[in-house]
Amino acid sequence: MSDKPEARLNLTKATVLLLQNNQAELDIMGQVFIGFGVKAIRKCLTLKDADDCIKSGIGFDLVVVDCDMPGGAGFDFVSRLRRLEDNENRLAPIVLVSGHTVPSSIAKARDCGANFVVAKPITPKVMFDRVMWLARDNRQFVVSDGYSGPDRRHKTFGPPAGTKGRRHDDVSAKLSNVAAGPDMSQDDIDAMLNPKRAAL
Amino acid sequence: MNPGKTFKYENRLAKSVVSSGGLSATEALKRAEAAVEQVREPTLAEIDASLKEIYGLGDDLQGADTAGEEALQRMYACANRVVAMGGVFGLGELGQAAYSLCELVSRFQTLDRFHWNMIRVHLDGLKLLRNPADHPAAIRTEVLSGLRQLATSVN
Repeated sequence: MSDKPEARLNLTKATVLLLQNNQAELDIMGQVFIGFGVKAIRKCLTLKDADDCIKSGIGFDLVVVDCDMPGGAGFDFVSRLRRLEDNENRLAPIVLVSGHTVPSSIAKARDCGANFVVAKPITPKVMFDRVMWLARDNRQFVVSDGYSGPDRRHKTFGPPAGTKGRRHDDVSAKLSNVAAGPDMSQDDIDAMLNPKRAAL
Repeated sequence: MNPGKTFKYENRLAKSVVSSGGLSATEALKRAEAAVEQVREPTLAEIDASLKEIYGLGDDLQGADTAGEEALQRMYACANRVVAMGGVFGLGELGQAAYSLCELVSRFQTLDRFHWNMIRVHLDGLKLLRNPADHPAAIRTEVLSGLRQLATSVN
């Protein structure tokens, strides 16, 4: 048994922005973060409200965005935020929350610059785990013509298998078929965004 | 083409991980669950309102050979709300049935198909799983398995 003390979260000074598609989901999410000790929560139901918050001068420690907004607006919001060069919120940790999840949505989530995608329903347990992940996320930030956000490579691919210099934890470029069916579970989503289950 | 740049940056959440003070996972979850409990009634009311709308759309589509895009999109949006909220207050299986309905509608939209009976079976499943305590777990599992098979058979 490890003697390492259990990690604790102190979110009393954190400022969180929540953008959700409907009031009931927004209220649930707000209650989760109140329970976690967050005092400053900005709750938004519309993109305009969220855009105004981002540009208000407030620095957010966490942004939670609903994938299920009409027309993929949540993805566009994240993409836009990641490209705001003169705004400190560009670098904020971003969690996308998604209901019915199709693989194309997960690719959009990865490519818009979010740190993680979490499958609904959002329970306190799931959200606490993801906040802890986010707090320990030390990926670098990438800015290019086609992408702005955390480095999508969680591990280096390294040289090809069998080649001198390849390390035991290098990831193959060939990813395994992460989803057995059309419905993607949280594990499937995690595997797609964090390819620990890649075929080596 | 711009080759792009990579740089390290301060993770603003990192300072929230502490070894003393703050909340342990156990404490945080207990407090969050108590806080979420405060919105139980309005959330269940929202779930029921979404189900009512789904059933109403189902009535409109009853026996139809085709379905309008708007009706399917509304049904998808309502079912997706149930996906989001069902599992928060012990209606996880209802949420899974709603997920299956989302999958079915999504496939109908993508493949330009429609089968009323497949919708009907999902509506029956939703009605059954809204009150899970009234039905044995084995029955609920079978219902969900059947719905899932039905939805994924559209390809």
